[in-house]
Amino acid sequence: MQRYLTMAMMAIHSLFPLSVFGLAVGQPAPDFVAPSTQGPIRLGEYAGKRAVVLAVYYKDFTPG
Amino acid sequence: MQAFQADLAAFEGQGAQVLGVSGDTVETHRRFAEQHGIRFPLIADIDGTIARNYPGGRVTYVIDRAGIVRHVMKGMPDNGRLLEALKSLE
Repeated sequence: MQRYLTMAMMAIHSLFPLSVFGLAVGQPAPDFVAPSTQGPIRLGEYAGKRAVVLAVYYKDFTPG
Repeated sequence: MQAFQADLAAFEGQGAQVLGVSGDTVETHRRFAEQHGIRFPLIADIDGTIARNYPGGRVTYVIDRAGIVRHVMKGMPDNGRLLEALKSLE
Protein backbone atom coordinates (compact mmCIF):
# COMPACT_ATOMS: atom_id res chain seq x y z
CA MET A 1 0.00 0.00 0.00
CA GLN A 2 2.81 2.38 0.98
CA ARG A 3 4.55 1.61 -2.30
CA TYR A 4 1.45 2.43 -4.37
CA LEU A 5 1.00 5.67 -2.47
CA THR A 6 4.61 6.64 -3.19
CA MET A 7 4.17 5.77 -6.86
CA ALA A 8 0.97 7.79 -7.04
CA MET A 9 2.71 10.74 -5.40
CA MET A 10 5.56 10.52 -7.89
CA ALA A 11 3.11 10.40 -10.80
CA ILE A 12 1.27 13.46 -9.51
CA HIS A 13 4.56 15.23 -8.90
CA SER A 14 5.62 14.70 -12.51
CA LEU A 15 2.31 16.12 -13.71
CA PHE A 16 2.25 19.19 -11.47
CA PRO A 17 5.86 19.85 -10.51
CA LEU A 18 5.41 23.56 -9.87
CA SER A 19 1.92 24.30 -8.73
CA VAL A 20 1.33 21.53 -6.22
CA PHE A 21 4.65 20.74 -4.58
CA GLY A 22 6.78 23.81 -5.20
CA LEU A 23 9.79 24.32 -7.35
CA ALA A 24 12.26 21.46 -6.92
CA VAL A 25 15.99 21.00 -7.33
CA GLY A 26 16.88 20.11 -10.92
CA GLN A 27 14.05 22.08 -12.50
CA PRO A 28 14.62 25.12 -14.72
CA ALA A 29 14.09 28.37 -12.80
CA PRO A 30 11.01 30.11 -14.27
CA ASP A 31 11.99 33.32 -16.03
CA PHE A 32 10.48 36.64 -15.05
CA VAL A 33 10.77 40.35 -15.77
CA ALA A 34 9.97 42.74 -12.93
CA PRO A 35 10.85 46.24 -11.70
CA SER A 36 13.48 46.55 -8.98
CA THR A 37 15.41 49.17 -7.03
CA GLN A 38 18.02 48.91 -9.80
CA GLY A 39 15.73 48.98 -12.82
CA PRO A 40 13.90 46.16 -14.60
CA ILE A 41 15.35 42.71 -14.01
CA ARG A 42 15.00 39.66 -16.20
CA LEU A 43 16.17 36.49 -14.49
CA GLY A 44 17.10 34.90 -17.81
CA GLU A 45 19.76 37.55 -18.36
CA TYR A 46 21.97 35.91 -15.75
CA ALA A 47 21.94 32.58 -17.60
CA GLY A 48 25.40 31.72 -18.86
CA LYS A 49 26.90 34.51 -16.73
CA ARG A 50 26.29 34.20 -13.02
CA ALA A 51 24.61 31.99 -10.47
CA VAL A 52 21.66 33.64 -8.73
CA VAL A 53 20.56 33.56 -5.10
CA LEU A 54 16.87 34.41 -5.32
CA ALA A 55 15.51 35.24 -1.88
CA VAL A 56 11.72 35.36 -1.77
CA TYR A 57 10.40 37.01 1.41
CA TYR A 58 7.20 38.43 2.76
CA LYS A 59 7.75 42.08 3.48
CA ASP A 60 10.27 44.87 3.83
CA PHE A 61 11.08 46.17 7.31
CA THR A 62 10.93 42.68 8.79
CA PRO A 63 13.92 40.68 10.12
CA GLY A 64 16.12 38.67 7.81
CA MET B 1 17.65 40.99 3.52
CA GLN B 2 19.93 42.69 6.02
CA ALA B 3 21.76 39.38 6.54
CA PHE B 4 22.34 39.03 2.78
CA GLN B 5 23.79 42.53 2.68
CA ALA B 6 26.14 41.65 5.56
CA ASP B 7 27.52 38.71 3.55
CA LEU B 8 27.18 40.28 0.10
CA ALA B 9 30.93 40.30 -0.54
CA ALA B 10 31.07 36.55 0.14
CA PHE B 11 28.19 35.86 -2.25
CA GLU B 12 29.75 38.04 -4.93
CA GLY B 13 33.06 36.32 -4.27
CA GLN B 14 31.35 33.09 -5.31
CA GLY B 15 30.30 34.80 -8.52
CA ALA B 16 26.66 34.95 -7.50
CA GLN B 17 24.05 37.65 -7.95
CA VAL B 18 21.80 38.13 -4.93
CA LEU B 19 18.21 39.18 -5.68
CA GLY B 20 15.51 39.87 -3.10
CA VAL B 21 11.84 39.51 -4.07
CA SER B 22 8.71 40.54 -2.20
CA GLY B 23 5.31 42.02 -2.94
CA ASP B 24 6.42 45.47 -1.81
CA THR B 25 6.51 48.35 -4.31
CA VAL B 26 9.75 49.71 -5.76
CA GLU B 27 9.19 52.84 -3.66
CA THR B 28 8.95 50.85 -0.41
CA HIS B 29 11.95 48.76 -1.48
CA ARG B 30 13.93 51.97 -2.07
CA ARG B 31 13.21 53.26 1.44
CA PHE B 32 14.03 49.86 2.92
CA ALA B 33 17.26 49.57 0.91
CA GLU B 34 18.31 53.08 1.90
CA GLN B 35 17.59 52.53 5.58
CA HIS B 36 19.56 49.27 5.71
CA GLY B 37 22.26 49.99 3.13
CA ILE B 38 21.10 47.18 0.86
CA ARG B 39 23.05 47.34 -2.39
CA PHE B 40 21.66 44.34 -4.26
CA PRO B 41 18.42 44.65 -6.26
CA LEU B 42 15.08 44.30 -4.49
CA ILE B 43 12.41 43.17 -6.93
CA ALA B 44 8.81 44.39 -6.69
CA ASP B 45 6.54 41.40 -7.32
CA ILE B 46 3.41 43.54 -7.22
CA ASP B 47 1.00 41.09 -8.85
CA GLY B 48 2.50 38.02 -7.13
CA THR B 49 3.57 36.33 -10.36
CA ILE B 50 7.03 35.50 -9.08
CA ALA B 51 5.68 34.23 -5.74
CA ARG B 52 3.36 31.91 -7.68
CA ASN B 53 6.23 30.51 -9.74
CA TYR B 54 8.52 30.32 -6.70
CA PRO B 55 6.05 29.18 -4.07
CA GLY B 56 6.39 28.44 -0.39
CA GLY B 57 6.42 31.86 1.24
CA ARG B 58 9.87 32.51 2.64
CA VAL B 59 12.13 30.48 0.33
CA THR B 60 15.60 31.03 -1.06
CA TYR B 61 16.61 29.44 -4.36
CA VAL B 62 20.14 28.87 -5.61
CA ILE B 63 20.05 28.91 -9.42
CA ASP B 64 23.15 27.86 -11.35
CA ARG B 65 24.57 29.56 -14.42
CA ALA B 66 22.59 27.25 -16.66
CA GLY B 67 19.37 28.50 -15.06
CA ILE B 68 18.67 25.30 -13.12
CA VAL B 69 17.48 25.29 -9.50
CA ARG B 70 20.25 23.65 -7.45
CA HIS B 71 19.22 24.34 -3.89
CA VAL B 72 15.97 25.24 -2.17
CA MET B 73 16.05 26.60 1.38
CA LYS B 74 12.80 27.13 3.21
CA GLY B 75 12.41 29.55 6.10
CA MET B 76 15.06 31.97 7.28
CA PRO B 77 18.09 31.80 4.98
CA ASP B 78 21.29 30.31 6.37
CA ASN B 79 24.04 32.16 4.52
CA GLY B 80 26.73 29.61 5.43
CA ARG B 81 24.76 26.81 3.83
CA LEU B 82 23.87 28.95 0.81
CA LEU B 83 27.55 29.78 0.26
CA GLU B 84 28.40 26.08 0.50
CA ALA B 85 25.72 25.31 -2.06
CA LEU B 86 27.21 27.93 -4.39
CA LYS B 87 30.67 26.50 -3.92
CA SER B 88 29.44 23.01 -4.81
CA LEU B 89 28.19 24.31 -8.19
CA GLU B 90 31.74 24.70 -9.46
